[in-house]
Amino acid sequence: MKTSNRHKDPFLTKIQKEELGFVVPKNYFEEFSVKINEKAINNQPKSAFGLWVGSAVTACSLLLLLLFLDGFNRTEMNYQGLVKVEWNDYSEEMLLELVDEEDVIDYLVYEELEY
Amino acid sequence: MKYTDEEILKLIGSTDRKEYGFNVLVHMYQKRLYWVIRRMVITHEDTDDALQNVFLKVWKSIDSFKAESQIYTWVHRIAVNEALGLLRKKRKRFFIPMVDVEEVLASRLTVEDGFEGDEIQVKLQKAVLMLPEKQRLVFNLKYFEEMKYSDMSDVLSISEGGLKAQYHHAVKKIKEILEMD
Repeated sequence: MKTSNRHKDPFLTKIQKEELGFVVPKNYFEEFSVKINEKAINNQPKSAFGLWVGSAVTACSLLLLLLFLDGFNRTEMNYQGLVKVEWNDYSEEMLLELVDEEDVIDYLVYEELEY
Repeated sequence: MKYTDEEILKLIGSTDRKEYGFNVLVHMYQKRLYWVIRRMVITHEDTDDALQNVFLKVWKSIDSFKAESQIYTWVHRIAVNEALGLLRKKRKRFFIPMVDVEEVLASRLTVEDGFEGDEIQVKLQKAVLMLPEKQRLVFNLKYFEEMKYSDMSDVLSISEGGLKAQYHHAVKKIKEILEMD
């Protein structure tokens, strides 16, 4: 009767309350303390080093990004300028309009005379 | 050998014995904290992750610990927050309401997931999982850990009266659930 009561109402007894069906891997606690010591204590210098390297990489990345953006803007401006120059001064259509065959002959003759 | 808070803090405060002091702290509290977390998150794997985080946080912030509370309450608070944080993360990850996470946890009370309790133990755990999160926490700390209400009040920042009421409701609900079965 006592046993059945115990099973019906777990509050009547506190037997094996700690585990109560939960399984813990063998030697877990022994291994845990070793594992946590390695992580917390032994990795501390590495963590500090990692932090330092991380900061340096971040700073370099930012610098490169700034340079890239700056360079990109410049390239774009130059490119736009080049397009303008090409369009205004060297357009094939404009050249055909402005320079005819006689102009070319004159130019060549003039070049000959120069030499 | 048992160490007092003062002794542990003295060890941790000294440059050459800090690591030893931390070892002592881990040995003293790892089991208790393991069970606090395990009863909340159910699986061993999740508990192991959370427990590692707890001690890593303890290690990182031990120098700033001002001993205004006991180490016991401080580490328990970190463990409780870690367990609740892990459950919150699970909830966010699956985009499911609270009750579903508890259902998922209840479904993990199997041998494969490291639970070998008999029928009544499974029923009890499932009943506990049906409680609201805070009530479950109060029930676990009081019933399983046998924590004093005054300590629990420090850990959970809830008044002792509030804790007693929560525990009373939790016990009543669990009894009802078990009797229904």
